[in-house]
Amino acid sequence: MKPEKKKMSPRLKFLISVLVFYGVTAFFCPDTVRDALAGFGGMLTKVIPILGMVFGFLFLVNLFVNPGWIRQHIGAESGAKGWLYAVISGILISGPPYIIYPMLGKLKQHGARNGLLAAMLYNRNVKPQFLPAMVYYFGLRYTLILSIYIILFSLLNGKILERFVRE
Amino acid sequence: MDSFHMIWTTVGLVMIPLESTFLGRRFAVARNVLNFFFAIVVAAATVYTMEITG
Repeated sequence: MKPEKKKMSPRLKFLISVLVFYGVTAFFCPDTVRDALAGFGGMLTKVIPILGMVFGFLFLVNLFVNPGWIRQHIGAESGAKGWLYAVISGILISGPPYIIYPMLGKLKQHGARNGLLAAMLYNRNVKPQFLPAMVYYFGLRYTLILSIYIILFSLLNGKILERFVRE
Repeated sequence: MDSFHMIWTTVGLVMIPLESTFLGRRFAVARNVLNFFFAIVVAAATVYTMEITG
C-alpha cells in the first residue's frame, strides 16, 4: 500500500506563491520589490496596534465573557434589552471589517443572536465621530432624521434576517 | 445621494467572503441583499421626512 501523501494547505500554497513572485520580481526589478517591502512595512506598523487591540478583545472575551452571559445579554433569551445593547454597541463600535467580523464571529460562537449581530452591523453607520462633519455639510435636521431611520431600520433588518438565517 | 451614501456604507460585496468566514455565507448574503433594498427605503424615507418637516 502506498503511503498517503499529505496535501499542502491553501494558505501555505498562497504564501509560497507570493514569496516566489517576490523572488522573481526581485531578480528582475529589485527597486520595485524594495518599494513594495517599504509599503508593506508601513502598512504593518499601522495595522499591528489595531491587531493587538483585537487580540486583546478576544482574550478578554474568552477570559470574562462566558456563553451564559452572552446568551443572557445578546442571545436568544435577551429580549428587548438585547436589541438595546445591539443598537448602542453598534453605534459605539468602530474599526475596519477585518477587525469587526472576527469579533462578532466570536460572539456568535458563544451564542449571540443573528438578528442582533445584523442590527449591530447596521448601526455602525451612525458614526458619532463623524456626526459633527455630517451636520456641517448636510445640516442637523438631515443628520438627525437619517440617524433615527438607521436605528429603526437596523431593528427591522435584524428581525427580517432572522427569518432567512436560522440560529 | 442618500441612497448612494447608504449603499456605500451598508453593502460590502468585496467583504462578503470575509463576512461569510466568520458569520456564515447565508448570513452575509442575506444581510447584503437586505441592506441594498433598505438603503433605497431609508433614502426615500429620509427625503420624504425632510420634505414634510421642512
